[in-house]
Amino acid sequence: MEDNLVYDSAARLFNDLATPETMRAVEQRQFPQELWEAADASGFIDVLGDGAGWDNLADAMAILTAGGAAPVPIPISSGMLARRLIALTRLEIEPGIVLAMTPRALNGNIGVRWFWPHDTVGVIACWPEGWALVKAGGSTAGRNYAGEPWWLIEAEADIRERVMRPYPEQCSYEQCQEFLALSRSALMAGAMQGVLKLTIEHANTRVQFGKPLGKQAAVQHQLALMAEYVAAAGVAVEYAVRRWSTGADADVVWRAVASAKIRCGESAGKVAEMAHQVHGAIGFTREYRLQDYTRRLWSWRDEAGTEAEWSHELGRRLIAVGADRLWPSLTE
Amino acid sequence: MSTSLFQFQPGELPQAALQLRREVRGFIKSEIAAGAWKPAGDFCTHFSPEFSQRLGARGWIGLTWPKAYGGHERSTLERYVLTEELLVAGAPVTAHWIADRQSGPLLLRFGTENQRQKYLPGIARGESYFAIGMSEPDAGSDLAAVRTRAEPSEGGWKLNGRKVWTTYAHRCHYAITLARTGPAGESRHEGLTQFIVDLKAPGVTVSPIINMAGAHEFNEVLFEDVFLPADTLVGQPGSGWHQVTSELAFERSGPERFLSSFRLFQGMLAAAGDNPDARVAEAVGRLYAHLSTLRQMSISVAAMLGQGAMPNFEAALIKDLGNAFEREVPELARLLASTLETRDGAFDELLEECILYAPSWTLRGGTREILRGIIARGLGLR
Repeated sequence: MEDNLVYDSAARLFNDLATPETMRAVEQRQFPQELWEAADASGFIDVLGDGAGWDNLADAMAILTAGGAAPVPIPISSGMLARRLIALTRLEIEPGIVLAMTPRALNGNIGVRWFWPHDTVGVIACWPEGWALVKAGGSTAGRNYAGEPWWLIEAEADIRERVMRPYPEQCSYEQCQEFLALSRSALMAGAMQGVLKLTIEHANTRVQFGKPLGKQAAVQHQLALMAEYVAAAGVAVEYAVRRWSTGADADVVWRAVASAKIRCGESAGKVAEMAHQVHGAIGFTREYRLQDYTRRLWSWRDEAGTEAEWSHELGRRLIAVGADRLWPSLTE
Repeated sequence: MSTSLFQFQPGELPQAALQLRREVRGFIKSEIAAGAWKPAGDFCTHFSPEFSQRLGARGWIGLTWPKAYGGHERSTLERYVLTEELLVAGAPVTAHWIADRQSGPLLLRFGTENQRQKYLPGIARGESYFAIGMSEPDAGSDLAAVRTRAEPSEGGWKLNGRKVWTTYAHRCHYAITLARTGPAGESRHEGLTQFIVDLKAPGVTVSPIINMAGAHEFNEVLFEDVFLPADTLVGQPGSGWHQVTSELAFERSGPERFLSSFRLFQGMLAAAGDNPDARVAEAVGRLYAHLSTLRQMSISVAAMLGQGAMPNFEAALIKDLGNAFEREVPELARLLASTLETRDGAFDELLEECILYAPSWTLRGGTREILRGIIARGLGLR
């Protein structure tokens, strides 16, 4: 997803504006208004549009990959999907409202968590039966590993306020779930590229025992494994985007998205672990950039379904259709 | 701005490859229906000249080679599909495998016109089989340490030395043999030369080395004053190292690097039952995700090879990751076996085969350690 103009322009913007100061301010619950508005002005948030197909899915994933590689502390993926839902349903909303989208309902209606703490935020809550635009309010209830605030709404308490709407045909519940999973995968793939580059740079400059770390076989093997996991993550995302964009059967797209989330989630944990190991103590500091990536990787791998959840569902479906369909399903 | 540390261009299979897939599946179905062979093993373990000849008759060996040498001028992606279908079916492909994958392409690239005309049509017909004569008692991963020597002799060369782990040398016709013909130089990579050695020539002794699974696949090959006619030298004298290492992407990126335990994976799924254990479902989903991704990586490299690129770094990455995947399948299968409905003993047989052969998967074609060294260099670790 990295070698195109959309990626390049997104990367430039994110690199300019996602400064260490911005990252720290977000952890103090300050909304990065300038970053969000710049991304919006560049058309990044509206990229999915309201067309019948998901024509700009590849552009969206390129932006998200760049977003992971920066990384950017804004709810860009859920914003993209929320904008598409709103556009498709011609819903009137207050101008300037920041839209975010719940990664998924937890246990049906019991509660949802979502990302963003701004007073003017609108949240789209996603249930299998329908979706609702609800107002964010009240106090923040938590944060992800990256210190990005989360809000928790009790659906039971909120259920009277929300208006359940049906999903438009061009943006079904299943597609919302797939988009949110694939977008987290793209963010992870981008972030892992960033982690790998940072770790290579460190290994080439940090000297111990009279030579750079990168000269030590034990460290080289860690980096080789990291490269394998990063490469696999990128290919898994690219393949899912390609299948989705070329209008493959729904089953094929679902399996490709599931595979991307599983592959990226597993890679994320391993890459983060090895990057910290190679970096040593400096990587464990707030001052050094590695944690901006790894804390997000640990968050994104859990959001929109862990690899365990996706694996279980994927395995269940594969077993249900039978062993004779395993190879044909891989080659469809 | 190219930001990637590696290149995996999207590789989409062309219509011709999809058509070929249908043909290969039909062929395999009819072979199994006729009882021609029982699905078993992997690309190293099931030697059948009859099967190789039937493939050759269908035009499925030397698929990408020029027609002038018995080839069929089809794409690397068609070849990709053909090989993965044969491997998944557990077809007995060993006889022609090395000749088709490695020796033929080597002769196409570095061989003389005479060598191409002499050897390639027989390979493509599925009648001529090649072994790899590289490893020696003191030269495994450290290939530059080979001591087998070829010395100039009237009308050619005289070969002396010893090769080991030479798979199916007892049934192959030739071994592409790496021998020292000059000083190693500072790089240690100079002075090595490749020869086509006739394994039935006087002075060649092939003795079995039984592997730990109890099978005779490996051999020791002893060369005692073996006369090599001048036209058995491949490429340039002293260029053996370059010739061996320049095309490793063909050898390391293919589906044989992650499909060795596919049928055990399929067996897990078949035995999962109507109410699968949650751990089984999770393992099946996870393995599928890994396998699906490895296939896309391998297809990507096949497409790049078809465009004339030689992505040796990406290929090393695929092989190490692919080998880890194929070794993980039996480890998961054994832990889940008690929850599976394995009735007919076929699952246990597959599991045993995988457990016993798994150690070889991360050795053959470049060890894990060598691959990671290559990847580290590719990443620019100084």
